[in-house]
Amino acid sequence: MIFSEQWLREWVSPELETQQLIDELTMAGLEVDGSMPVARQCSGIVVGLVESVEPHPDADKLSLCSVSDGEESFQVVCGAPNVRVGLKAPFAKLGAKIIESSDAKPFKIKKAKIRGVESNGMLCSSEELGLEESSDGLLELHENAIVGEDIRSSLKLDDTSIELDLTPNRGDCLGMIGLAREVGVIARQDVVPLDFPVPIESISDQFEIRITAKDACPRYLGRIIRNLNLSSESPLWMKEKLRRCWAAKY
Amino acid sequence: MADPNSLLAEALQAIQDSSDEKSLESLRVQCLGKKGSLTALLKSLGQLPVDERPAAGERINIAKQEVQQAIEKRKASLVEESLNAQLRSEAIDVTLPGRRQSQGGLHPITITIDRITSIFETSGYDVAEGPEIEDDYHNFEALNIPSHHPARAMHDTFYVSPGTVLRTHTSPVQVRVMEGGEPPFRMICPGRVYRCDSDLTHTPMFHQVEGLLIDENVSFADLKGTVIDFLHAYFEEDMPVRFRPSYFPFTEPSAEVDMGCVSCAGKGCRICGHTGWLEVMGCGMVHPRVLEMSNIDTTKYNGFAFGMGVERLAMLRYGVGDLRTYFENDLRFLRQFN
Repeated sequence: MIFSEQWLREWVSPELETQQLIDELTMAGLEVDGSMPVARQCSGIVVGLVESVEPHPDADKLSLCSVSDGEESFQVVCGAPNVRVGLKAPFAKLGAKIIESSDAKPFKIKKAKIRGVESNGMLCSSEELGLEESSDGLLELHENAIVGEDIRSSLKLDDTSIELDLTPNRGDCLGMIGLAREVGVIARQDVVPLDFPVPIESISDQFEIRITAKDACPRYLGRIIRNLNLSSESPLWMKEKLRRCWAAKY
Repeated sequence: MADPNSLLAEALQAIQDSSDEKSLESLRVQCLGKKGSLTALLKSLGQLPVDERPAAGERINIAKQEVQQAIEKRKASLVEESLNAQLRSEAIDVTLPGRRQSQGGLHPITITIDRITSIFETSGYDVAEGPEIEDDYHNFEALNIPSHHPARAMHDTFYVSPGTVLRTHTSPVQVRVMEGGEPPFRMICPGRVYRCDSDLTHTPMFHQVEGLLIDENVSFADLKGTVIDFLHAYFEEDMPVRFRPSYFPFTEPSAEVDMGCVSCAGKGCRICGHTGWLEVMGCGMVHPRVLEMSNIDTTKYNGFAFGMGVERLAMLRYGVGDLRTYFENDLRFLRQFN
């Protein structure tokens, strides 16, 4: 069972550092098998706003953009297919550093000439931030993201994925609620139950369920959802929460 | 008539020059044989005047004798030479020391099991052994692992036929002893066990020593003391030992035992995965259901159990990195233990 420390702390947040939390979990019987930061080490990357996009004079697949960091505008060459005016994306400014892995040398952003045109910074994909193994195009940030804010705080990247080797008798810790309850006991702290709005039912469709194996299945829950929009994308916060719960393994 | 003296001189020279017995023999035939040169001379005596015959005959006979003697002498010397050459080539240096008998030795796993066994024997434990092919009941059910329990997944089992398995731990032996006797019990069960697993730290076949103590008023403190004393005795070092809550279907409560890493004294190194602790054993208080299934009165008796992987302890004691080394039968490796 892999979980995101930040997600756990939405329910219960003991006054423990990450390593202390890991030690407490292990000594309580929830053995921690490993832990991993959820994103690459990086600095100097902020939320950038694409102000203008023009085709690169010398290259078909590149664009010449003007990107704002909230105070100044920079000329940036970008090769992503999804760059457009008004897009908010992670912007690695001159001097930014990205460390791909713990034993690699830091990759520094410097002034560069791409096909003869100056580029002062780099717009980033989720792959470059270490959020995904591979990605096409820039990481599209939420329209409410604050331009100029450090990306680590905007995307809450200072998080750790923790892997637990749960024993068969602790099925209760296979979800955030059970795990939060356990951590609340370990740290002698109250678990704050989260406030979930009850979904408003707009259709009255029914689906008949009959349980014939009552011993094996004491309770069955279901909900009918119609008119799914298959082309819509899950919000970034949801994708991130899920990603951080298996990032350490995959 | 040819001159016997010149013939003699020729023959003698040829004999001296001959280098092997074969050519020597052909020389003999040439001079002294039926059609030999000297024999021919004798035959030709008849052509001489009568009064010259005795003298000539004597001269020829003398020549014959000299040739014969020369041949014998040369032959003897050739034989001696070849014998000497043979002796030289087959010479043995008799001053060399003798080749010793090689001695067999004990396998490191045997040494480890013996060491563990002797530590417990001197504490009054019995040693029990049992079959390696077990039935489902003794290997699982009697240990509170029913057929659909998720704990079955913890054991990757080799099935010989439905209901018959290669035992996955030596606990079945403990069940057999309990079934066949009356408490109190104090035993260890070393032996070979089998699990479907193969990588750097797992082999399909390995060895365990499991212990069981059933008596009146046994406490977790007794278990801790036993385990700590054993580890200190085995590693000959009073390293820190800690118990972490864990789970086994046949013990409640259950614990996993870590000891301070002997390689880095707890500071953190490659061997202990930079945690400073090495997991060495599992243990716990025997689950009452396990005792009930073997007809032991749980209102009167309780007890503890523990188990360890022999290869793990051997790896830690001898610093062997790859478990599979123990099963490769490389004499260069095995010789080092004796």
